[in-house]
Order: sequence, then C-alpha cells, then structure tokens
Amino acid sequence: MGHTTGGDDAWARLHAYLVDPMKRPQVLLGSALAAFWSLIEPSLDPPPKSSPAPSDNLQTPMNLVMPLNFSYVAYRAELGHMLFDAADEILAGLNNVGTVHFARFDVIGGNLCMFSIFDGDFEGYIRDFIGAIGGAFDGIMKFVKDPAPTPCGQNVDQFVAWVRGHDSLQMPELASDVTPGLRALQRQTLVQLYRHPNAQMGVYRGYPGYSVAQIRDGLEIGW
Amino acid sequence: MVVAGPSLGLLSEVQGNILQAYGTHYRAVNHLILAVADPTAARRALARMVDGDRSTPDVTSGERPPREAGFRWCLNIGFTYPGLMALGVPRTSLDSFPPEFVEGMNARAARLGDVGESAPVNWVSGLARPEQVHLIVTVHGWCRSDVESITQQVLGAERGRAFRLVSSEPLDGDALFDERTGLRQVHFGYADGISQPRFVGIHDPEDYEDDLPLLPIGVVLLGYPSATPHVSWQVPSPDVLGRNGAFNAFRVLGQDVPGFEAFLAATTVSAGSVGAAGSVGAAPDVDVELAAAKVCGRWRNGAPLSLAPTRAEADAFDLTRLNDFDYIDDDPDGLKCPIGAHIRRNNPRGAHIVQRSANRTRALIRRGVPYGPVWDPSDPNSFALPRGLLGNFICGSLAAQFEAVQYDWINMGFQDPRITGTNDPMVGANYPGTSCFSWPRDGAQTVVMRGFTRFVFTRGGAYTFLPSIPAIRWIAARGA
Repeated sequence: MGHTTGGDDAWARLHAYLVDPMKRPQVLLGSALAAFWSLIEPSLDPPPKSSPAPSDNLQTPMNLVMPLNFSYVAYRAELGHMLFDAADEILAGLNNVGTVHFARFDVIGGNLCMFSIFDGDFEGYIRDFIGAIGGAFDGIMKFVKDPAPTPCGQNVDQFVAWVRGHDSLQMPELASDVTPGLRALQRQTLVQLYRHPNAQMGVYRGYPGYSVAQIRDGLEIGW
Repeated sequence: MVVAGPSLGLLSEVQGNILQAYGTHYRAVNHLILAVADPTAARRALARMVDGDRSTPDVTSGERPPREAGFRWCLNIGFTYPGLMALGVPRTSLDSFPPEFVEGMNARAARLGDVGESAPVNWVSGLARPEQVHLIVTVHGWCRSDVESITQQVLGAERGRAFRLVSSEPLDGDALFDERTGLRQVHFGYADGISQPRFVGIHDPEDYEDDLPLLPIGVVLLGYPSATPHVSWQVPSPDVLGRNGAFNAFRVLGQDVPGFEAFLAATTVSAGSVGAAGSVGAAPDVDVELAAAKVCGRWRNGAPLSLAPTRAEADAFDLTRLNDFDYIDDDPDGLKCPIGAHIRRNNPRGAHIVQRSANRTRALIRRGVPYGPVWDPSDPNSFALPRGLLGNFICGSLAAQFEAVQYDWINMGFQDPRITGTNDPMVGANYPGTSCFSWPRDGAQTVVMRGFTRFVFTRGGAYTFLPSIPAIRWIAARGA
C-alpha cells in the first residue's frame, strides 16, 4: 500500500464532507457567500485590538506564521542551526523586552511560526523586540518568502506592518467582543476566515489579568 | 539615509522651539488651526514664510535664541497629513510617513486614553474634524498684541486666499509664573518645563549642575540614529523633506483645578494605611501639600521629592538642583517619590523598569503654555471657566515615544509591576471606582488614595510634522 500524501488526505476528507447531504449545501453556500461578502465588505476585518482598560491589554497572543522559502529537510536544519546560534541573543533580548510571558519558534507545515504571549500594545511589542532581537530577525528574513525589508531596525514601520500581516487572525475571545452584533458573527467569521487561512480560535489563561512582571514580582524571582 | 550626528548649521535648518525653548520673555501664544483655502496661494504664503524677511511672518529657526536677536515674536508651522496632501506633496512622499501620523491623533484615541468625555467627537476648535485641519501655526510673542499682529498677517496672507481658520474658537494661552521662584507654572500650581531632554552636539553638559545623560539627536530629529541601538526612524522622502524634521503631538488639555484641589482636601482626611481588606482609615499626618507633592513627584515649587522628601526641605531647596537626582540611586522603592507619581511615570530616569531598555528611548520634548484664567477659589464664577494647557510633545517617533508613554506608562503602568493596572494620578484616564494611587512610607504603613477622577481631559489634538526650513521651501515649491 503506497504512502498517502497530505494533499490526498485533504481531498478525501473534503469529498467525504461534500457527499454528506446534510453539509453539502452549507459548505458550498458558505464558501460562495464568503467570497462575495469579502468583495463587497472590505471593512469586515477586525480592527487592531486597542482598549483603554489595563486588564484588556495583558497576555495578548501573537501567532506569527512565516512561510519558508523551502521546506526540504536540509533547509529546515539550516534554519534550526541559525536559530540555535541566535538563541542567546533571542532569549536575552526577549528578557529585556520585559513584557513577554512566553515565546517559541515552531516549524509547522512549511512555516516558521513564532508564538508568543505579551503584555501591552501590539505595535509597541513589535518595536521593542526589534530593538532587542532585530538582528536575529534579520537572519530569519533570509529563510522566509516575501520577507520584510532588512535590516529591520532601519525599516521599523514596514516590519511592524509585515508582522501584522503575518499574524494569524484572532477570532473574538468573547461573544461581547463581536461587533457590530451577534447577528453578524457568522458573516464576519466567513469573510475573515476566507481572507486569513491561519486563525487562532480559542485561548486559555491560567492567571488572567496579570502582567509577566507582576507574576515574577509575586514569585520573587526578579523582574 | 541616516547619518551619525548633527552637522554644523543644523540649528539654522531646524524650526525653533524644538531643540531650545524660546524662554520666559515669550509670554503669549496663539495656535492657529488652519485649512488650506487655495493650494497655490498657500504655497506662495509658505514660500514667503521662509524667505528670511522678518517684515512679514517668517518661520523662526533655532539658529540663535530669538530673544538675543531682539525678536518680539516667533512663528512655527506644523503640517498634518491631510495638510501635506492639500498642499500637493506627491504620493511617493506621503507614503513614506509613518502610519500613526497618516492615521492622525483622532484615529489613535483609544490607545491615548482619549475616551468618554475626552473622545475626539467632543474636541474643540475644529479638531474633531481632522480632515479639515491642515496646518497648525504657532505664534509666540512678548505680549498679546505682538501675537495678534502676526496672527492677522498670517490670516491675511495672499490677500486672505491662502488659509482659512477652521474654527473661530481661539487657542491662545499665556505663560504663568511662580512669583517666588520665577519658574513657569501650570494651573495646578506646579512649576513646569523643568526637565527636558538634552542632546549630544547641542547642549553642553557643563552648563547644567546635574548628571542627566545627553541623548542622541535622533530622539527628536529625523535622519539620525535613535536612542535604541541599531534602530532609526524612517525619514520621509525625499531627504530634503524629512531630514531635521520632527513629529509633534499637539494637545489641548483641559484641567479641572477646582476638582483636583477639592479631591486632595477631601482625600487627605480619608486616606490612610491599607488594612487587611484594603480598607482605608484616617491619616492625620498627611496634609494637602504632601499629597499634592506625592501625586506629582515634585512639590509645587519644583523641588523633587527624591531630594526633598519633607516640606521643610522643599522650602529650603536649592532650585539649581531641580534635576540633580536619579531614582535608581536616590529612591529605588519609591519611599520618597512614589513609583506611580506623575513625573516618575513619564520619565523613569535610570530606575529599574520592566521594559529594560526603554528608560531613555521614549524621551519627549515638552513645550506647553497654559490657557484660560487662573482659578480663584474666592470667586464662584471662576470654577467652571475653561482652563488648561496647550501642549506640544515633540519627538522622532510618535508611536515609539509619545504613544508608548501615554499608553504603557501613563494609563497602564507597565513599567513597574507595583503600579501595573493603575493610571497616572494627575493626567491619567482615571475612573473613581477603580483608580488607586499608593505611596509606601519608611516606618509607617502605605498610604492609599482612591477615587481619583479625571483631572486632565483632552479637548483637542492633532499629530503634526514640523519640517525643517529647507523642507518648507520644498513643500512651497510643489506645483511650481
């Protein structure tokens, strides 16, 4: 029995889905409507999160998905070596940013992903980490498709925009976050997912409402 | 292109009041909120403003202190993004400006804390309609008549066809002075304009009796390395347009002086040490002036709490040492100047902060003049009169400096976990139900003050670009 590729699997799953008479109209109609709405309602993308309430600005996820130029094993190994060599700079830099709870690099399906949880404003976070680990990102840009202009530190605004463009769509965490109203939820969801193949669809926080510095201060491990 | 540092002749190209304040002789100011009425006429008027002829309104450069030159008035121009568009600046140049400037202050309101009463929809003097705000012309003068004379000449430029006042509501202010110290002050009664950034190649450290570090000129001027290693802000293109320019956050900040004083008076009889459940009891050793000093970080005469923790020390303070302190050495835990105090939040100096490399990178040049009458507690009619500050916060990056201070430090308290989640007690977007300000005491329990309302609220604002003198000539030559 031959090896089945991921693409064949996907077709098989889609076929199974479409032959289900209960789901077929829903899938076809949803896809068609998403494409149509996406053309006529360009404003349905969620605006960047910005709230004056401090608790709304803690522990924000960033899910940066960066397609690699190539996905063959030697290329991924080279990327791994580069990240390993830059590990000290990255770890020290993120520590200096001071607002990062967690950050990690994963290679998933031909993409280099940086998943992190940070406190504060998205743009401020990106600017701070350019100052701290901009050199490492200059190296990363050599491995990814359509990279941001380098050096990142000399092209700050473009880099912030590039990161925003490669950050996964974050679906609303609470029903109350959905605007303009719950009636629009399905329509918005379809359009946003049509435009953004990568999406975050849920978050759990074990200690909501605390900054990384508050936690470190409370644990007396320095901040 | 970014070059290493300032060159000879820099000051003659940079607009005045950026690198050097105009000084105490210029007591009156007017901010004209203008729209371009006729682009061709407006460009001609701008060309005249940089032709070096002081017989007509001319943009003041930083070449030498205008007082030394005998100038009775000074004039400066800031351009908004819609203003640059209206004047015919080409698309390639417009696209080279940073996104926060393109979006404008109104669109960035949430991150600035401009919500509720301070929301842009409530702004005055036409500033609620940013698409109509093209230029902000600032005129300083020795007296009001100097300012009015130049104002009329600006409005009459090119037979009145160049510019149009966006609103008839004036934005004029007059400097206030502390009669005892001679220092400028704000309506709240505090000395003002004390601590400003100083720059390598511009200021001589020998002139100052403190050890504040000099900052790279790129903190405020475009075209030079910023204070963050390996980071420079993008210079709008072409180089002649962007180089030696700066960005400005112009703010009309209303100040509720009677409310502030009433709050201090009421709170100091109810403030006290925190009990097991955060309860508050009486603290008879806390008086109004001590509370006022703790909230600000300085006594009203300007003496810093870090060097003068008691009223007696403040009264006897040597006012030549107003900046001769650093929290990291003098007060790391806020026993003298609370960590959440206004001046410490806005400028942590060398203190240990969460964003470890940001101590000096968010520096802002502040140029402000009060507006409205001084509050007279004996006159009931004085309570409701509008008063506040016409403030200019000048920097190389509005997002990385002005907005970061406003968002991270003033309204979130991210710089220190001991104040995270609280707002600046003086200028923050406070709500009585959630606001909190505390100060620890040596040998006594921490004092906690609650119930702060918003004492400073935003009545208007705009992001402007303060181009160099050659850049204004370049703008004036578009379409020629």
